[in-house]
Amino acid sequence: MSVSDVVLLSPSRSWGVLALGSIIFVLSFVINSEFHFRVLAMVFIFALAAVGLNVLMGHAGVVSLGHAGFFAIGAYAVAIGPAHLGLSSWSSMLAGVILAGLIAFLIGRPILRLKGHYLAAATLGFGLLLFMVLTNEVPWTGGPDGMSVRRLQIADWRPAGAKFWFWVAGCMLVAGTWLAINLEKSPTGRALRAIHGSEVAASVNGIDVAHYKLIAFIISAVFSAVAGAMLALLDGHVTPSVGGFLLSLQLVTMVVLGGIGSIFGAVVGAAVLVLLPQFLTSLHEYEHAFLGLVLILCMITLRAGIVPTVAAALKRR
Amino acid sequence: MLEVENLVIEFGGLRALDSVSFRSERGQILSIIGPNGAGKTTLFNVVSGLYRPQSGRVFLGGRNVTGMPAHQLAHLGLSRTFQNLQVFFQMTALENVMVGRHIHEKRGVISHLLGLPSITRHNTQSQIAALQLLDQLRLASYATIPAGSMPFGALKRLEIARALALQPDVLLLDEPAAGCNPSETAELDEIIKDIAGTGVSVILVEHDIRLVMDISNEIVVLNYGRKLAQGSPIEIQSNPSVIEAYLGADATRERAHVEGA
Repeated sequence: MSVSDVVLLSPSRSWGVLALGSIIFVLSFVINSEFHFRVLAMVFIFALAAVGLNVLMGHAGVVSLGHAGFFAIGAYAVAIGPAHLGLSSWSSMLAGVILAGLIAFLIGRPILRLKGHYLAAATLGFGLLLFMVLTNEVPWTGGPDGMSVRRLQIADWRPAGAKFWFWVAGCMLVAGTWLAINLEKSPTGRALRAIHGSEVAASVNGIDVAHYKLIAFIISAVFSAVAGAMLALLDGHVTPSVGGFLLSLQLVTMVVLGGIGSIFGAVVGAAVLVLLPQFLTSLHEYEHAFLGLVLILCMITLRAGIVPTVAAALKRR
Repeated sequence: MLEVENLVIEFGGLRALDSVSFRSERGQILSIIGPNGAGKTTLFNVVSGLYRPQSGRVFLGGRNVTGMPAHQLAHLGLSRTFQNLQVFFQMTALENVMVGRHIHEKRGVISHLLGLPSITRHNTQSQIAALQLLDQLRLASYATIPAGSMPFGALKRLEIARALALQPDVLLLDEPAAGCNPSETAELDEIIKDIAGTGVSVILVEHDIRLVMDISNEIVVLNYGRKLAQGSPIEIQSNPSVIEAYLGADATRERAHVEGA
């Protein structure tokens, strides 16, 4: 192989972003019910959070069991900002995202020194703590019943309906995916993946391990907060469950199911985990058992996750 | 280039390094030999900032760097390989070497997220440099292959390529020939000489005595954490205490071990 072949070594994954954008575009013509737009908007929203979490889990190899905490910060920001602070939805969203990044910075510094299970337990603790705050600070958050979210207003226009959020979330997902792909190919992305491979080797190669883990933590928190804010605006209502342990666990499952370390895997994982229950509603009380069964089977048969396994199978052909 | 002064480190009362001193020079190969458990790898771990010594000092290019974390030492021109492979297995060979260029790459997360054209240009430069190193270590054919599916001998050389990507002034090689067959070891002989030829100060920990005697300018013999002897290969081969502690009976056993592996 010669140096002139270098260009061949950087396959442009912009095609992936383009494909994702096209799929979203085509979907907008295929579906026509409010309900379907709504479900797909949710897919895009959770996919965005999963793409962010994949930066932390898939690239840096750090598991967070409390990422719903950041999701909830975004969601409650667009609820509390207009209701209690007189802010517009936009500035509330921005404030929530900045706050999530700031909190990630502050708690990330001490807890990212921990390793393995201890780190997982610390992130879990963060998520639980935030859940308690949301449940108990009734004057601010409405407590366990949650609070309503003022609808978004753009000048005099109040966009209504799920189709609007289908487009907003779709565009945000495409943008988020594009950012994640750029990052993966960049020196920062390589540093994160190196840390995942061997922290010792990363550090002797000049990589400040604590610093890069913190960067990944903040990026993933920001992605989650943006997603949380969009979900709250779509739903028009928030409850503490957006910051609950179940959601943290679902986000982790999306990343693992789609293929840990794979950006499009995170999108596929989110799609499966949001859409599957919609198809299983006819099973009524067996729904959750069946969902669990599907997940177990997926992980047994597609150990590397959906996207990497399928990609490897296609390559072998 | 690298100077080590009276290094002491203890693990649970056991002195793994007991007042070890030596200095390495530009373009020279300094080998550290000794029986298993003599403290060779511990010495590397202290020098490369993974362990902090109880006492003693480490100087890099005349600067006191004792207790400095590994990633900062890398910025000052120190690089190393590992006895037990520390390869980024899920990355390709090319990407592994590109990680070695980390300190020469532009940082700035925002520009990385946005994929600015300047970052793409830098990436291409890094790729070219990394590919040249792969070529130099006869690994070019593995460039796009995940390191996890490379053979052992190639992984050993991959670690060297990655360490060289940092463009170090001082390179620590921890048993590069371990597990390599005779022809791979002969290749290493040339590779290490070439590296020293470019002005790098190479410090080598190696059990393959033939390789050590062949390429070293200077040899330090460690035994139970202490420096037993220091000198040229000829001086070391004729040093009675070295022969007694290490080279005599042990050397033939070591050689048999290496060749049998």
